[in-house]
Amino acid sequence: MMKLHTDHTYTLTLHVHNQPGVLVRCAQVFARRGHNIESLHVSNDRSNPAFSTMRITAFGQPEMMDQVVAQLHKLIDVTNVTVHEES
Amino acid sequence: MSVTTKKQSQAKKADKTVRLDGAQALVRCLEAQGVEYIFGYSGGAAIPIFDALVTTHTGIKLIMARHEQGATHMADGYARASGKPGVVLVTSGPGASNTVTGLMTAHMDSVPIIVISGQQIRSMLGLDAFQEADIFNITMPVVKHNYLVRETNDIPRVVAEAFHIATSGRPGPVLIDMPKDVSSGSFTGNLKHDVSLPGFSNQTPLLNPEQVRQVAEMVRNAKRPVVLAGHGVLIANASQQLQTFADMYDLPVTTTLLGKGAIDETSSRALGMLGMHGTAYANKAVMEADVLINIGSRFDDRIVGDAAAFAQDKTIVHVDIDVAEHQKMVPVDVAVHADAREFLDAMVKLKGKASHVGWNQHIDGYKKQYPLNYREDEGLTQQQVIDTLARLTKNDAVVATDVGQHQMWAAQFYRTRRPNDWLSSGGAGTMGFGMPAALGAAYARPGQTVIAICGDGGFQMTEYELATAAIHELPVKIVVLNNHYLGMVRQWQELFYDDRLSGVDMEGNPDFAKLAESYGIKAVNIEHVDELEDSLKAALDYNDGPVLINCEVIKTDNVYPMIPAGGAYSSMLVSAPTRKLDKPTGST
Repeated sequence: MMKLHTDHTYTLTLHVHNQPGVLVRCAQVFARRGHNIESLHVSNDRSNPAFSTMRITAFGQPEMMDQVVAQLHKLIDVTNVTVHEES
Repeated sequence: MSVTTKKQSQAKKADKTVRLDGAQALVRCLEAQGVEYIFGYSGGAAIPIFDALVTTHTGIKLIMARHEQGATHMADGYARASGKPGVVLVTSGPGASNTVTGLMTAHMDSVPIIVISGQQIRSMLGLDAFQEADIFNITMPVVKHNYLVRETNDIPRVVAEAFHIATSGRPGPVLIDMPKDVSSGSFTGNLKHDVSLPGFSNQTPLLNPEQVRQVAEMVRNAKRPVVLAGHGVLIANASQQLQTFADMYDLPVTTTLLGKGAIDETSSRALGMLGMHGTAYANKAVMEADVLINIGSRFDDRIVGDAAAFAQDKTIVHVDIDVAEHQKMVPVDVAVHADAREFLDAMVKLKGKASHVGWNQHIDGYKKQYPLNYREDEGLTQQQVIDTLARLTKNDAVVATDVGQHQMWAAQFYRTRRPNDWLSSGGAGTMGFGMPAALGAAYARPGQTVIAICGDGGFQMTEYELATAAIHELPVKIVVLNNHYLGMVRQWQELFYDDRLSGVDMEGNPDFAKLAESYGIKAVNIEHVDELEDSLKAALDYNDGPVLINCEVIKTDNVYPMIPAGGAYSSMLVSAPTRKLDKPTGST
């Protein structure tokens, strides 16, 4: 999906339960709504290996991104989501 | 024998009796959850679990369906009619994939069901082994959560979490995939397990008392307030509080399709269903409202139509337990994150009062001007069958519907009086839902009249469950409103596609009465208006088992009112249009 000139770029930081399938669950929230993930970085939480941190960069309209964040929050294996808007 | 050895041998014996395999541990965990029935279909990978239903001498009853889709709709109907989670047990591969439609149906309508599927042994996963389906990944988008159990001792944790997730907050389906070597492996853990889900418990709402006062103030100052009650009111078991709230503030109440029964639809405050095929008076009241209080509805597109037009010139309050629903479809002024009952309890506690006599009289005028009606001069209509059923059962039956024209007419003409009496696939629109859902409801509500209202199309999608109804002698009234068409699609083709009929003719329908009789089920045919009353009475009086009532209804009739998909409420057709219509902007 090409970035439209009206799109904003967002960086989402997710704290997730380190379970098989958690990446798929998160990716599906984007894919179902026609969003590409531009970059993705997953690293294990050193203080608690049962959890990981995902850093996702994506672009889209503010309303759509609000819905993406709300749906990510709902996932049982996602414990926290924070969003930074870059432009 | 010495005392010590006797003790030792007793301990050994006791130890033996608690030694379980995974499947037996699973059954004990299901018992601890209060499960009464399992709707299922066996198969190779699930044999250990079916075996455990025998070896544990459990009190849980297995209801053997004829297809896994039927089993999931039964569990769904059981859950909707009882307020308790429904449980399904199937095998791997196609057994599991056949539950996808039922999972999606339950997911769209926030219904708590637990599907347990057998699976290939762990070492075969990903190797395309016989009847191996990656059901964990297949079902991910249509469940609230799912599990692939990897260790036998994990079973109690997974079951405890699955039931907690399915029934808490906004309910939904959970799938548990269980490899055969996990279910037949030796269980050495603790059957009790506390639920700890940090990513789930942080979604619990905390009602803001300031918002409650703000909403009370808005309702008091409103000139034309309307309450929209959704499924959330029923899930929260808050219909009494809703009635009290409406009485205190003198408010008219409309419901969504799934909210039917949140308020007694025969009472004067009730406006019936709103939206695409809602009553004209509900739609006009919402269109003219200055304050709309939505409690527990997700503003489905068949409610909203044109979102901008819907929200225009009104203040909207949206009470929802799921924050993701706030601002999703409609921009709202006050978004209240709360359980419907907690919110209504708080509203009632404020002891506020208001009177909206003029506004209610104005809406009563619409009720007189645009009553629901149907033709009585051109033969047997679906509406007349439903209307007569409602009258003969005093609106006191549990009604399950299928999907299509008959569903909308049932929503209009069978006015629901109590919570959990109305079971319909709203979000997913799953044809084939009605009859198996009614069978599940018959288990949930023994002694109550249960009616399945189906079309001839949807009925054929799951008609094989007639066997289940017959075997268990479930006294369900299965009404097939047979117009030999997929009526709703035909209606759209007539109205928006120049009457070009394509893929809607149900040529080849069997003789439904003979079909039922071949299962040993009593059946009647109704072809004329003058035999309707007596035949329905006889069918309703028969309670020794299921009865199928095939009604030959007029072939071409359309559901009105109708707001074309995606359209504004102002585009509502209260009767057949006199001019050619543009294609709707919305999909369905």
